[in-house]
Amino acid sequence: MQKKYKKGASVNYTSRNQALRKLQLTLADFRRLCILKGIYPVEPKNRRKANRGRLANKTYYLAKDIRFLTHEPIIDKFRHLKSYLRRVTKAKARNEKSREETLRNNRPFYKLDHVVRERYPSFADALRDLDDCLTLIFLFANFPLLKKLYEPRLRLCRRLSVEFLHYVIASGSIKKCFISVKGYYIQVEIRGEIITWIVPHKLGHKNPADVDFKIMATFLEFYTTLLGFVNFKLYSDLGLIYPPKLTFSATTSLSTLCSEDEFSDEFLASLGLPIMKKADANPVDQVEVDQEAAQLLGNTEGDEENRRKEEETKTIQKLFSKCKFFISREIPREMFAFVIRACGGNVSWDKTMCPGATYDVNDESITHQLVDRPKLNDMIVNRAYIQPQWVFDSINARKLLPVDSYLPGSVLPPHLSPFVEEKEGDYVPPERFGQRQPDHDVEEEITKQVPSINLVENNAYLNGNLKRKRKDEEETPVPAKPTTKEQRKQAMRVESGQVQNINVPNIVKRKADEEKRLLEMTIPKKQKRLYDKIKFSQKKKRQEVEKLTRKRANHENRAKQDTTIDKKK
Amino acid sequence: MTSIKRKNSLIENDEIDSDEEVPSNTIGENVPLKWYENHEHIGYDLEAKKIAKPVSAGKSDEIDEFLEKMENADYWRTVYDDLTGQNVTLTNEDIAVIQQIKNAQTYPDDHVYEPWVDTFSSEVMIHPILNTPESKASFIPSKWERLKVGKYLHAIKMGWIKPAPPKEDPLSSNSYDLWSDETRTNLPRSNIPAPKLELPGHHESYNPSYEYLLDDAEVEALKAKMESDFDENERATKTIFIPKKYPSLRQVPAYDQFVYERFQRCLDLYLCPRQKRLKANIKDINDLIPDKPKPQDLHPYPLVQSLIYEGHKNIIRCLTCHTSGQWLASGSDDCTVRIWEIATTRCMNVFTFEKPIVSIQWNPVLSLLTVATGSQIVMINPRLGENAKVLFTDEFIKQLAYESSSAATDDCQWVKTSDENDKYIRLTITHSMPIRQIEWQARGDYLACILAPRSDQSQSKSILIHHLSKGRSQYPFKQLKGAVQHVRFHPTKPIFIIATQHSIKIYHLLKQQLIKRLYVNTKWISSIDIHPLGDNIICGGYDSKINWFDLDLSVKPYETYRYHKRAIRCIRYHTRLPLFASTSDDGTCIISHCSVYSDLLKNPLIVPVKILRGHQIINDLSILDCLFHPTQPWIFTSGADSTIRLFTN
Repeated sequence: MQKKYKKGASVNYTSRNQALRKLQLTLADFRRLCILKGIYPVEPKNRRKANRGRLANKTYYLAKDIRFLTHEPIIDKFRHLKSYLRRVTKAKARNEKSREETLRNNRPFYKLDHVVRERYPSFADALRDLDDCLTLIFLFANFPLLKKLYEPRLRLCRRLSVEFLHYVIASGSIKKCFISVKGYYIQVEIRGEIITWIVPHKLGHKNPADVDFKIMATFLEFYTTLLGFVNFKLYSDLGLIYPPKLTFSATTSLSTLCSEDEFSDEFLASLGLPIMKKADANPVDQVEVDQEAAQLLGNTEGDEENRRKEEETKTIQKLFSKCKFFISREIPREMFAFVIRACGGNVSWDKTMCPGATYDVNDESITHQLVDRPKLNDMIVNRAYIQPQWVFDSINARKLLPVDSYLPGSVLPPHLSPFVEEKEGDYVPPERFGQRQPDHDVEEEITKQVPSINLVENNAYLNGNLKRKRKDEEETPVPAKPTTKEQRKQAMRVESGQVQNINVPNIVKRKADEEKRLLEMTIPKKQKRLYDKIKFSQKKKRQEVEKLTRKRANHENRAKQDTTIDKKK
Repeated sequence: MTSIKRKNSLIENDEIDSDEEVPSNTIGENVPLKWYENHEHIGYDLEAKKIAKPVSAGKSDEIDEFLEKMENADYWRTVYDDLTGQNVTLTNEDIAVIQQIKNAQTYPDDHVYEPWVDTFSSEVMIHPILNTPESKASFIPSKWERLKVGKYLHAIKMGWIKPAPPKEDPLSSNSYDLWSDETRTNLPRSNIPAPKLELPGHHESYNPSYEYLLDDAEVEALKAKMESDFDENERATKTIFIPKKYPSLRQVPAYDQFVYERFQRCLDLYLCPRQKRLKANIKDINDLIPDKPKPQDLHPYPLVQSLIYEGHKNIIRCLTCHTSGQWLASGSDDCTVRIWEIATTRCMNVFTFEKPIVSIQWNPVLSLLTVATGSQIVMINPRLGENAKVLFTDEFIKQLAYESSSAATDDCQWVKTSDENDKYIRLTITHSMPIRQIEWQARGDYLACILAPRSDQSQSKSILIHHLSKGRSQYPFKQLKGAVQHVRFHPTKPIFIIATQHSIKIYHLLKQQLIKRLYVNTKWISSIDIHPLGDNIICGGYDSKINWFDLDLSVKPYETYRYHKRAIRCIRYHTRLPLFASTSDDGTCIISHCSVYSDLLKNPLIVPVKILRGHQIINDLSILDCLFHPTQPWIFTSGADSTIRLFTN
């Protein structure tokens, strides 16, 4: 006979403490290991079964995962590090300077190459999981160099982020971008994988209170390794030189802002200039390969979709190809330089702002100048002065928008998120269609409200008709018993009838509703719950949409009133 | 300290020398003073004559010392010089110097920036500084060094000593293609990927349109929702996002919660238990609704309210219809039975009793209206309908000769009433217990009767069957479990169905055995009915559930519905049409179409077709009984508002 708890959930899951005992690690080390190896707790299907019939509140890991961890060489390195720290403290206490120094020079370290390979056996897996990695790296790339984190790692973050941005520029894989309160959302498509990350706003950084930077640093350790490999692979596949080099050698004559050794890095980080390709590079376009494959397979349905997609990418890549931008000082330069260059534009900025400026403000060929100040003193005629939102809106619209509403000092049209895919019944802001809705729509709404009142009346007609009659009788004082003939004559009286207001469509609608209600009754219990849930969520959504439409209408009415008052004045 | 003192004293001595002749110290610094302790003199002068010790050198006694201490203000800075035998008073400068030395500060008189004599300068001098010739050993190579080097050399040759590996930078490593050999493409373990971050909506924009901005009340509501939805720990992990509008990009600051949100995300990634969830992929909500025929294809069924029968003063508990479909009888809590003409709502007759009417039923064959009131069953010949039948009924009752020795004579008494005594009442059966329900067998010979025994009495006596033609009563069950709620006769077979609180039992009366026991999933059965063909049973419960049993299929319900909102009071089949109705305390009567097929492979098709409303809800009671017209697709409902309503098609 099979003994109890020898098979199944109780063996498949291990609690955290069991895992600690098995691995002989401290909790802190175990957590670090979990972060690096990507091991996470799981929720067993049945907690009671996983814990031998008891219902304690525990964290469970898959027993297989923990067994997999036992063979990890990093655990050994953790122990080395521990003894290293002990030795260093000892040497320090004994004031043995030279010994301390030799120890410090031979600090044990671990590499995470094999972990990256384990976690992401194929490159596509790595790309799929890049969202969090990029967001964290871009956060620390823009982080002040504080004591909280190991400074070389922050510099590494900066380098890796710049490399990645250069790749996006070179490959032209940007899809969407959005300025949010939280930061700039950027979405790219690399080898069919959609990757979205956030770049935080730079100014006004506040040190957060209750954040454990140790944990973030452990994550960063892994993510920097991962992004390093990803960058290398991306660069080599596209035929670019890694680490990136600029196509022309930066001369120090251009530099006034940084020292010579930093110069080339800074120049690279300015994102203003293209990077060098390998001499014998012959990159294969992924889309073309797909198309060929599709043609071979005779897949025509996918073909149409693919072609549409390809066309869209091409329009984005060449969106700004005829434009020449100049970025004013008050604008977050790096972000806009990246976005413009990713869409094929030329960009420059003030020489004193950052190295890497390629042309001057007075260049005649500049077509657009990004400014974000209410007033400009000296303007040059043959260029458009626009607010930076124009760039993002144009990319999301996949065309160069008219600059009229983006002129400096003007009230900007709302910046809408390109990530929202409106389904049927969702609220769609009117700006989404690129135009305001005509005014008579509001009137229509009002007229629509009238029949709803009729509906109530008809309800009464259909349902409580008799009831109402009775009520009427009650209201009118009826003589107790008509005794004489005359009285009876008076009591029996025919009044001229009134034409009842019958609204046929409403009756039809009511009938349909009732039919539906009757059908809803027959839904089996299991699906009934689901059905009710969906109904509830639909109702919530509808309410939300109504609220937003109402607010919009209110605001527009107010705005209209304001304008009329202004006109009167 | 001594040397310094001496130095001081020397300086002073020099000063004194210039003024007057005082024997100076000649012993030098290297001779300790204690060598002269036992001598009269101290040192020698130039002519090698002894120098006598100074006179005042004698140490004054303690009293002098004390007086000196008291009188002399400079006593604390007076020092006795052994060499000269004089008391020296230290000057302010001296004290300052001493203080500085004590505090380990520089000596002020020293020249801090003295010129540096660069003896071993880089400039090559023509003369050597040291002119000693080099030793011979310096020309001979060291033997021990040679041995040591030899050892190292040997160790290197043997591979024992290796050069230190070039130091690796832990940060920069990744300059090779990690995925150069992509052979394995599957993840090694069962991997549940973390959900991706939610993409931002319009409201997260730095410049959203106005409808997305929240006013103060909405922000408060959002916060209150946060308070109510999550406990304290959960709340700490969440951040409230309030949309904000900035007129231009340059005014947008860094997001306060950014690092915190990233941190929370990191925590989620490695601490949050993951689980694979199957998500129902429903494209159209109407897919969930089962495909049933439309009600308009299932006519006829009662549709509109046509008539109201008014006259009762209290709740109408029970209804019965004459087989001809012309007369309707109703029993009410106002202790009256009324007989109505259906077509005109005219009240034909009123019978008044002493107790409320519990149950009422027309005999299916004879012209006998059976009324249960209190603990009495009264059979009335209302003298309606065919005259022949009325007369036959009277004759039939008359010719019955009851023996007084029936099994249950102790518990019930049969009393015949003749024409002369009462115009209508023909027969009275009196019980010892109050009655709950009566039910005629289809052939009209047997009358089942549910009694309500007190809690101390046996439940087996709760069912009593009267045999009309023999005038006998008997308890068919020796023992019965549970309180009996409702009973029904099978329309054709000698089968008897009992619904107790939790279960339905089906007995064969001739074989005297239990045929089937049905498992009901209601908590408390209120009413059951059997399909006129006899293969299906429906049962309604006070917990608003309706169970449909197909006796051929299983003992478990074939379908369960919960479409009433309140307790179900009555559930009935139509005798001819494929319809059944259920009435409930929520004031509705729902008509359902139910086609039952004789083909065993085809399951019954049940479609609710109409919700009838009209009765008022009084004291949580609404429709108490319903009854289909025996021939027409009409339904009567009686309710707590003391009306009977007729719904017709």
